[in-house]
Amino acid sequence: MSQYADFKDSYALQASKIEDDPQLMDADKELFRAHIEAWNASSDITQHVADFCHENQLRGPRLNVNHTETLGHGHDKREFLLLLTTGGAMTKDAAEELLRYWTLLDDDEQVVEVHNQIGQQFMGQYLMWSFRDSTALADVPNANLACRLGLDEAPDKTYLFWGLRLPTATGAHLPTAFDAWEHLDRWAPGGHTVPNEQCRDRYPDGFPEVVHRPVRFDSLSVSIR
Amino acid sequence: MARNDWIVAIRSALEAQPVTPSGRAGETPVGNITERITRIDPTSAEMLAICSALAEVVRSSPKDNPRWWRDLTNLILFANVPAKDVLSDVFYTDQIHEPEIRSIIMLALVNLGHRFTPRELGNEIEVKRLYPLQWTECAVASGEVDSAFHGLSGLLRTGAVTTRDISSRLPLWYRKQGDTLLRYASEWLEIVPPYEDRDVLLSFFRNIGIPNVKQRVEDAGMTVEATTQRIERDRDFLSDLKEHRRLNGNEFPVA
Repeated sequence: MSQYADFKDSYALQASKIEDDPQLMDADKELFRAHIEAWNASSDITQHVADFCHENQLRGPRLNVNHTETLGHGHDKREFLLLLTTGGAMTKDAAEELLRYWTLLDDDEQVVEVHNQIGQQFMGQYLMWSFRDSTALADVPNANLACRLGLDEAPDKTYLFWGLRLPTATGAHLPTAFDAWEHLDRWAPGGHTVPNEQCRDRYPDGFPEVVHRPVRFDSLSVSIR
Repeated sequence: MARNDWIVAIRSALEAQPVTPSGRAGETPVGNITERITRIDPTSAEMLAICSALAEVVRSSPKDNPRWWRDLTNLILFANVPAKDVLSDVFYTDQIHEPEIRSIIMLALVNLGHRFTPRELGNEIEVKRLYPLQWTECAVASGEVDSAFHGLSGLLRTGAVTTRDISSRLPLWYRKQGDTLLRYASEWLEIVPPYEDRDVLLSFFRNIGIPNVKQRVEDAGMTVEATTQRIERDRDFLSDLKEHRRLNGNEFPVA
């Protein structure tokens, strides 16, 4: 049996999502299969696959996202604080107090302060996911937004949401299974988020979703909430 | 999981952190393992295994990789693992010479409640020179507020730090230091160029309801000149004390 057949047996869901992704070209899928065949068991197979997926991000078609369009983004609160402490070389206390300060400000004041205080820091590492419905930032409560975006809703999870505008040099792409490797169980091809079961009656449809290279916080256009 | 499994898991997360793309909501390997640890009962045997594993990871960490140490100390702080002693050991037994790593461990230690003495802060010459903002943050957290803020005035004058660098620390410093921060902020506003740089500082104070810092400081009679005079007085007193001790042994002078 080939290594790829073994992989398909052990990781059926992941393999099928990649095989069935219409945004990936046959050549991409062929490269993926060849990569798995080349696995020499010196590392974990999932890490071997992850390495391939990380090297083959943004393979989906480029979308026409105007630089005046506001995209929405959801971010785990703990990860956000980790971003601040890492990027700003500040203490955890300082990061928590900074976030508390921002959330007390009016929307416009907050955007100015975020630009002032961490404008040069990136919002993520290598890849970012954003959704194309900025009205949801104003209309949908945080908990419902997390559900509609299909984010993990464990009780100890808190998400922050904000709006951003892509700089002209940053292209947006339709997500592929390679982009979604770490969360294929919560992802479907076609460029829409998959709402969690708990809210599918209220929100049968997800939001259109894009992937792009991380942008800096000076691209923030709608306040963090 | 047993101690050794945790050692492997923690090291894997730290190795993966710099090369793994963020997840859909910014998830990272360090964030994920931090979350796993926070879900474990702090009184359980497993938490003991985690503490022991983390101590081993700290002791065996590369001595020349600042990113590793930043991620490791973040993991410790965000997972609320009691690792102050092991970090302190690594710091004080002089195993780490790289100034950036020393600055990272210092920040973690003050976050864990450690306070550096003025002598210890003074000894960190390279940290102070190369990472002045981080050194200042440690000095402020250690209670050396006047000398730290006074030092920031000098750094602003020379351009070694910018108002943007300072502004992200203002909410914490204002909450903890209140009027002391205002005194120095009034001086910083005099030092920095008008318009953009000054506006970065001013917007914070406007937002917390202090539209005119200088006026507020003057109204309260807490000018920087008064503070500077006090620092000079303290300095004079210390040199008098040294001279007195030189002449009279360790006996304190009686007023």
